[in-house]
Amino acid sequence: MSWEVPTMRSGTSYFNGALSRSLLRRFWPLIAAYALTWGLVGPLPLYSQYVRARALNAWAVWRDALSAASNTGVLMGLMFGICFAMAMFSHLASPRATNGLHALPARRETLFCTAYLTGLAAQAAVLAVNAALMGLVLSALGVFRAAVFAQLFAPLLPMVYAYSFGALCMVFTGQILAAPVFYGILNFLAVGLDALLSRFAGTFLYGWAGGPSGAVSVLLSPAYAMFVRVEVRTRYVGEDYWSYAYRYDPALEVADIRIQGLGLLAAYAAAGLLLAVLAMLVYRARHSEDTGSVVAIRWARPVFQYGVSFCAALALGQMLYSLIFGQHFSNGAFSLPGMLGCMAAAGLIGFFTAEMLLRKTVRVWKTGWKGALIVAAALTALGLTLSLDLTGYEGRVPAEADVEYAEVGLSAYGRFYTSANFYDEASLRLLTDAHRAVIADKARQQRGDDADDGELHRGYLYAAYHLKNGGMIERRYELIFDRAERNDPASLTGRIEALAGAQPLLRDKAFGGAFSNDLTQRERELTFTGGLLSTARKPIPRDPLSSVYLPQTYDEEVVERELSAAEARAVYEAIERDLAAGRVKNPIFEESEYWDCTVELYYSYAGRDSQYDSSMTRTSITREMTDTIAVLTQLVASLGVTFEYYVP
Amino acid sequence: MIEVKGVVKTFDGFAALDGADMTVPKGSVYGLVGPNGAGKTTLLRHLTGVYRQDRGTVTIDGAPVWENPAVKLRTASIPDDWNYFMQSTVRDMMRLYRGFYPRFDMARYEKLKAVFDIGETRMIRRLSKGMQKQVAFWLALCCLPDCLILDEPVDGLDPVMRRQVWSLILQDVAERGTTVLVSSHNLRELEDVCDHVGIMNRGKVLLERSLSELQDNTVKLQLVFPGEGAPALPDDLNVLHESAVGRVHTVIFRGRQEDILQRLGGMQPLLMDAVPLTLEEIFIYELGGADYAVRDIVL
Repeated sequence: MSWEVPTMRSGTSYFNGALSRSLLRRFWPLIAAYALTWGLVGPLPLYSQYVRARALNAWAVWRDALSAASNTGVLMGLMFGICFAMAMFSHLASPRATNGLHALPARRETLFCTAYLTGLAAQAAVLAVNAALMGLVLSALGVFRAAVFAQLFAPLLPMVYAYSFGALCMVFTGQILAAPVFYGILNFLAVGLDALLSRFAGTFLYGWAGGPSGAVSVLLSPAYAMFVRVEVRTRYVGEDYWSYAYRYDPALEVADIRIQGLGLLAAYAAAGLLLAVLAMLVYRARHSEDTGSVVAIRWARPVFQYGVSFCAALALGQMLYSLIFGQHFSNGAFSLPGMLGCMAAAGLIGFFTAEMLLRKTVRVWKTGWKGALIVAAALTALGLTLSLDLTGYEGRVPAEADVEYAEVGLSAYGRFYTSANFYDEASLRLLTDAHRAVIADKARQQRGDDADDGELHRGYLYAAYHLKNGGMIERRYELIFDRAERNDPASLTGRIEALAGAQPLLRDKAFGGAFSNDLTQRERELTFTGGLLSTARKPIPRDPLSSVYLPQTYDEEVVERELSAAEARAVYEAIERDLAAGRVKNPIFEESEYWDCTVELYYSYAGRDSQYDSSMTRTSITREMTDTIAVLTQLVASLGVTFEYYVP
Repeated sequence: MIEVKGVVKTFDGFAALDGADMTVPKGSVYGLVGPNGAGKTTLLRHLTGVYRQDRGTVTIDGAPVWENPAVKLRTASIPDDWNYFMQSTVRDMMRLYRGFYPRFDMARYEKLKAVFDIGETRMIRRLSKGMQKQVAFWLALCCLPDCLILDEPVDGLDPVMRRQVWSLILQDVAERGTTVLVSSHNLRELEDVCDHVGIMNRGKVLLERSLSELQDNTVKLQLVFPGEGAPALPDDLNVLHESAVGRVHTVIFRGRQEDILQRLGGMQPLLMDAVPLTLEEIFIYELGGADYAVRDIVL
């Protein structure tokens, strides 16, 4: 190299073999532990479990192999990803090692890429060997299938994500123990924050039904998303959809098997590579002297500090409130100043804790009081803004013409529940009238009169308006109804009773919720395939409080009769006639008599874009459903049963 | 040539370097001295590419040091705390150095093995501080650096080993023209090996000269005047320090010895004797002028 050209810089090399070998030499125990653990959860149990099996079920072996590659792969990737990151970037947590390594003739990119690629290659090699061993075991068991084999490499995907994210956490912090804490929290932060924010908003906003961010927050919480969305699925002969791999039915024959959620894993792996690039950029910008700091990146320190403060206010504040004021978050005993005070106090605790961590001292009052003031003021302002409903959230009810459809759920007495989708304008008007009545009744509802006492009864109303412009308005109200107001159609109770009589809710009542509105809206042709009628031979004793059958008598007294396709259709048509004639009621505020008889109707329909192409409905019969009772009476004539009505 | 110009480095608002300037001539042995917290280590870490300056330039032979492997390839350093990796043996570290420094000389490594006499398979963390320093010298010298940057290098070494490593370093300076920048509080030792000295205080290099120049420019005189007490010294003389024991006055001046002797000769002292000045005295009296002096405190 010429010293005569002093300004010439060397070309950037992204890998240094000596450093890589040094890392492998120093951290071989971790690699060995990783390989050993994989051996213990992968090929070894697979072999030992099935090698002595007399009649080997190939698909069961594959199901276990793929389960190891998917569910176990996610868990192993997440667990070891951070361990490898902590090892490969351990120099960033020791000032001595940081200074020593950074004094060597290599650019920061070289150091980062060498450490990153070494860890990645070590894990990938272990996974490749593991997949090969699994393949050998499957061959030895005589169940090897080339088409499915590639899926055994699936653990590479969560590994790439987890390790890259771990690397990012390591370059962000200068404390080795802070890295797994950040890693763990950030992997679940979005869903946790979503839940906290939802509870926070629910405390202040009347009708809050949770934010629309559920799916997004799950995706932004990779560990959570991978745990809940990745599983082994099987396609059985005669079915064209993928179902639960452990579904048990001796008649089922497996046609194919796969890991569900590989796309999601691939997306996270791709995101992991982006995170690795981001980690390299952060590494370049990171100052050597910040090793030892909890947050080594300077611009991220205020984010960390205010983030900790905000999360503490949400989580700890609400906990503090419930400890001091009890579980009164949305009723008459709710204390707004109490809640604001608790949240501000918790926010300050979080703020000063973060300040202590950042400054590595407990004497933080002088340096932190200004920020603390900002936190307290911001939290109080946020709470007040929400409680005063400056955004008009609480009063928002859409015009019927703007609604494409609405999901409605209605409950009263705690044991009556009905739900349906509303499409027609008449039903939507009943809904919006009831909704407005609920809003107008806010003061009384929040006063929290004693429910279940005399004429007052608890219930709830859920409404999710899907608007034509693509938007959505979702509300959920815990309500107290006054039966004494039933005669006043403009009262809340009157409006709710009118809503309960909406046609979609009556259909839900008549068909036990099994016929979705979507189905009837699309006017698909139903093909009945049969049914089952269950009724009591004589009245069955019930628990006087819950109306539940006393178990020891149920099996002896109930008789069943299978229905043919024609009989099932006859019952269905009778129910439809009762419905059309107004003989199906939703007796939300009055007691109704039921016949101890349940009818299940089996049917199929064109499953154009549906996973299922068959289903069933279960109908409970009330005394008013005269047409249905007439049909059923003929059907049970040969069984010698006594009809009996009861009041639930 | 190592050149530092107007370098500023702040840590949480504190300026560890506050416009530091320094020039280390090629092939020289430059001693960087200064009180604790003067910014010596911070300055050296800029020269090894560990720290990035907030302002100013840090160059070696005109090329910036920061993120410049071409420059760092020719530079070896021994920081105050050298043990990088807890789990490494001497041989592991040799392999690491050999992988980063293409000029790493294995023949020299084998030859120095006999000098340092430390088992290659020993874990560095299990070695004493002095032995760790020996390993550091062993490896640094094998890199055949053109520029050697040492922070308190012989701290922890026994006297024999100190002499041994300085002998090796000076041999390299003589044979290969290696530039050595060394920070130390052991001024007596620096006096023996350095040909240039820079004095730092509060993030600045207060002065830097060749050692002979520095000694020529500072004069320590013992004076005895006739009669009681001493007459007032001429105002134009730059007096760094003055003390008296009986009738003997010891005065340290800044300036050329001939000029000072000529000026004082006019005062007809009974005795006017020039006494050799140590680096330690220069350090103490120069910093005394910069408001850093030994204070007479009675406890």
